[in-house]
Amino acid sequence: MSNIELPSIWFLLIPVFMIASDAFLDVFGLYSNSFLSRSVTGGITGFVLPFFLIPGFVKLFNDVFNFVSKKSNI
Amino acid sequence: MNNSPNKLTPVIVSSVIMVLLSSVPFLNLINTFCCMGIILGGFIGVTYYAKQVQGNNLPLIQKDSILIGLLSGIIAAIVNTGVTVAITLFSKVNPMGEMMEMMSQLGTKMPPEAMDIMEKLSQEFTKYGYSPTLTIITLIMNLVLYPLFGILGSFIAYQIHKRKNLQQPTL
Repeated sequence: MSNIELPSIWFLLIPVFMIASDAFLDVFGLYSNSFLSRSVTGGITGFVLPFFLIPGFVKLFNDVFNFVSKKSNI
Repeated sequence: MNNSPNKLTPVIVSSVIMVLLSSVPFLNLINTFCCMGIILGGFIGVTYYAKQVQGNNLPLIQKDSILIGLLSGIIAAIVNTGVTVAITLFSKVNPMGEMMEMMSQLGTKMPPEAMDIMEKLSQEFTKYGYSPTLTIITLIMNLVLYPLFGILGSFIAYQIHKRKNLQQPTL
């Protein structure tokens, strides 16, 4: 749980681009999205997102605990 | 030794902007366009950090920029959920009851399962002044959306500042 290294941003940007293109192509009437396309693009983004969120949470709580412990030592 | 400036101030600036653009009435309509308020928060946070970094003659690092968007997104998600609960408690409004009334006036037909859930949430609003179930759902949704769009905003800002730095002539 000490790992606060983020993976490359492209691992997040590519699934986000897929989910956005799935939505916008439907909005502009170029391609009608389906339950399957929404599930697949959402599933990939949902799989990738924790690899960014968990290090972020760990970093945030580490910083908060360090700040509190420094204050309590003073 | 890491000489990069403190990231706490950009994170706080960014999360304050995200919360303001998500909770102030009418101003929060900006989020109807692809969560633009959250993207803007991440963008401004990294712009602020980039100015600090450039002042110290240091390069802007991509991971630092993304971390600012991510952390401010997490903080803004938690704070915004709290603000939403506080507003609901003070306003003493039952949004679920109003929504059900509006739907019946418009003649919109909802599946009975959805009506049952809305009825339960409406009872929670009447009993406690807010809905604990809806608050947890909102928090989980915010914890996905805010960091995601915060990262996107900070990445856009990073790309812009990186190009600006490349275009600047070296003296």
